[in-house]
Amino acid sequence: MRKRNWWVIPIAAALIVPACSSNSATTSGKVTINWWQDTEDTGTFEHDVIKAFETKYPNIQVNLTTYPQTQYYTKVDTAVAAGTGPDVVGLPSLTWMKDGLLVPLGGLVKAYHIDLSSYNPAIVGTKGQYNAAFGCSYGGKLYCLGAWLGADMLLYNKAMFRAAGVAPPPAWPAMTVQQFVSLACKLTNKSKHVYGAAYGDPFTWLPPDIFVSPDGRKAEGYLNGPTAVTAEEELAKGIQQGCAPSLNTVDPWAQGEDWFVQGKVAMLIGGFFDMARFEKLKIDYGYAPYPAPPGVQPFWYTWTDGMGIMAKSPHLAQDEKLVAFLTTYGQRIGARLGDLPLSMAVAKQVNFAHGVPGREEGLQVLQHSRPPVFIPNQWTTYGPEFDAFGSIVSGANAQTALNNAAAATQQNLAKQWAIWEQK
Amino acid sequence: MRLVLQRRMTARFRGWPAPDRGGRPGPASPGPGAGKRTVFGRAPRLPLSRTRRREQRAAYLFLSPWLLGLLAFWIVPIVASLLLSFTDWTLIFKPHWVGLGNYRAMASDHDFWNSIRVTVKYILLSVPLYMVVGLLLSLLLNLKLRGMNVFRTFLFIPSVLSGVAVAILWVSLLNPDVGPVNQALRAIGIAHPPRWLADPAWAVPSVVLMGLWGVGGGAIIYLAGLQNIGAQLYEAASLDGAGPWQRFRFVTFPMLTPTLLFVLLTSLIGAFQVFDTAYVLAGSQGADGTSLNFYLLNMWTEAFTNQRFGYASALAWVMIILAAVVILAIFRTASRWVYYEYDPEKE
Repeated sequence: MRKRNWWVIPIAAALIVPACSSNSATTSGKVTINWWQDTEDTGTFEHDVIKAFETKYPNIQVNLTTYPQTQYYTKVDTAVAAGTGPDVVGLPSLTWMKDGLLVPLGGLVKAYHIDLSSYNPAIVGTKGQYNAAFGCSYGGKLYCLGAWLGADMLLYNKAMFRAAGVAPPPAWPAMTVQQFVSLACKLTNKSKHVYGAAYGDPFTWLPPDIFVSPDGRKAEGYLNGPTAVTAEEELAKGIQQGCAPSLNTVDPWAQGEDWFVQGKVAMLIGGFFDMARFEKLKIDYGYAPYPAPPGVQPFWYTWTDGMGIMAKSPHLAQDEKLVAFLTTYGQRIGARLGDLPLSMAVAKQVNFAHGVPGREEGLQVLQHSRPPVFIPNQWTTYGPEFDAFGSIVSGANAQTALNNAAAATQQNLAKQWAIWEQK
Repeated sequence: MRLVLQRRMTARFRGWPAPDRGGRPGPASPGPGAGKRTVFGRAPRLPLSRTRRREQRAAYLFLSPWLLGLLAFWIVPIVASLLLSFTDWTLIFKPHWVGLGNYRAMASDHDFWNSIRVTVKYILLSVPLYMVVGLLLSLLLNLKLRGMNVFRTFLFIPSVLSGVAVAILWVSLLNPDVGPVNQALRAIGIAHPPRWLADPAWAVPSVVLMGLWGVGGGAIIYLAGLQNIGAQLYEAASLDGAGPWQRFRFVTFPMLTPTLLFVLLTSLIGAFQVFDTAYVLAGSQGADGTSLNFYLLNMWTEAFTNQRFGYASALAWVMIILAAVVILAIFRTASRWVYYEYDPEKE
């Protein structure tokens, strides 16, 4: 009789059974939360939060998985489709909010007595607000909460202003676009290869209200309207006159800060972060709101490490504990690492500015934050504007270039809204 | 092409014993099934010996990893993409059958037409340019000079570099303000040189210019073709009084047409597949402008930005069909301009 290898069965069972069982809970009664986060760094902050959370809640274990930004949303979508998605998810997209993949956090806010009044309004939304890109609200409901706040802002070098004998911009009100370009030209020193300012494409930082209707559906009459045309002409002139580098010489968000710390750029369409770096390098920096055309309220994007709870998570109560912990204790952990807390009240409590004028100016600017106009897939939708600005810098007539861009963008808006409403 | 090759192969093997048992050149000794043909012209299969069966099993066993890979990562995705092209799949939710809806939607999709325009513009500019420059380079590389192998190596090196690395390098070279290309143009008196990638009108020509970097790869293929041309043909032409141009026109060029056909086809296929360069360059402009929205980039945007995987699958199939039509058209006309030293059709 042929010998049977019975010993294979328990080994196979040992391999198969754990693979088939739920990965969220263990037999010891300890719940495991799977947290997925989009992060480019090593996740120091997240690991600190987990350590503190697990100390406070010893029966809950948190498994953190991080992905680079370029793959993140596809990874989550694929996992959700396969039924293996996370329990809590960082930086939830508006699509997930709209598609009902996330749990509204109104109950959590009440249960944990979270005071949203000191949170940045562009992140948590305002009453009746339809939705906000980069934020946590959709359709008047809150779907995520975070610990820190990121914000775009005009960064400038006060020493370079003094050297040029020019007064720096105030923390409020904002300069006009014309004032900004004129100031940039005064600060430019071509012989020393110093640019007065570095700014990206205007659509990425000028108030969206001048490019699109308040409901986010109409580009014609806005993108090619007199306000946008004048602003783009002024900014193109700044590049043509050598007061600012071409767009593909310095992408403000990619290389701009390096140029700034090297003293090659006096004003930068940048952000309210990395202050510790400037302080370490002893750069006398200052902050002001982004310039805006006359009569238009200035605008800058804000964002957070918002965490949402997936509706299909088997342990919503424990997930709520983690989100509440992140947005309360987590803010203090982040502040210790140098992050700006999401709540301005916490920023005051932890003395985020600690007497540095540049930080004080940034906090002052942030009081005027406002939510953006929602445009589905806005960077793709407004692609023709990027081409138009490139043409204007190359000498094309601004009105003609923006008329063409407005017509093309209107088509894009129709397509993107149809996709958005169909999903 | 296939027919021509088949005929050439058949002719090459002329003189072998007449094939039997379904066309296979077989042994002279008749087996049990010899002389018996089925209605399909095939003789019944001979029973395999135990050793042959064991060898066959072993062969399939060793082949199985590759076969499984082929099935899982090629065949299944290809079939799946065809099926998905008839659905509205968004990745998260279950797909719904929409029939030809995705294909019909392309007719009114301006992004689709723009991507076609950008890709066709690139093909029309790049393919002839790369073929001519590659040919000229190969003629230079074919000269019998000292140290020519070093030149050949240098020219070939750029074509093995990663597309992303080359794109990033060219972004710096073509920088409108401080890039060496514009500095050189200003130095020779061109006060307002093109703004290259920063100007939508110059964006596609800039990508074409960047592609010249890798033209050494094509030149090496031409060089192989050139070195296959028999010296006796040049000797005969010289004896007949042919000068350098006539030798090129009536000897080199006709003898090189099979290589030209190969380079044309591979260049066309490559031109249809521009993605990495465009992806990097669109980002480097800090913009999502439409001037570099190549077909594959548009397909990627539809899938991963708009989450229209069904529509993106349909775009993939349309590209395959378009490329196949162009390639078939070239094959159909090849007999008019491609010269084979040995043409079995004229036997």
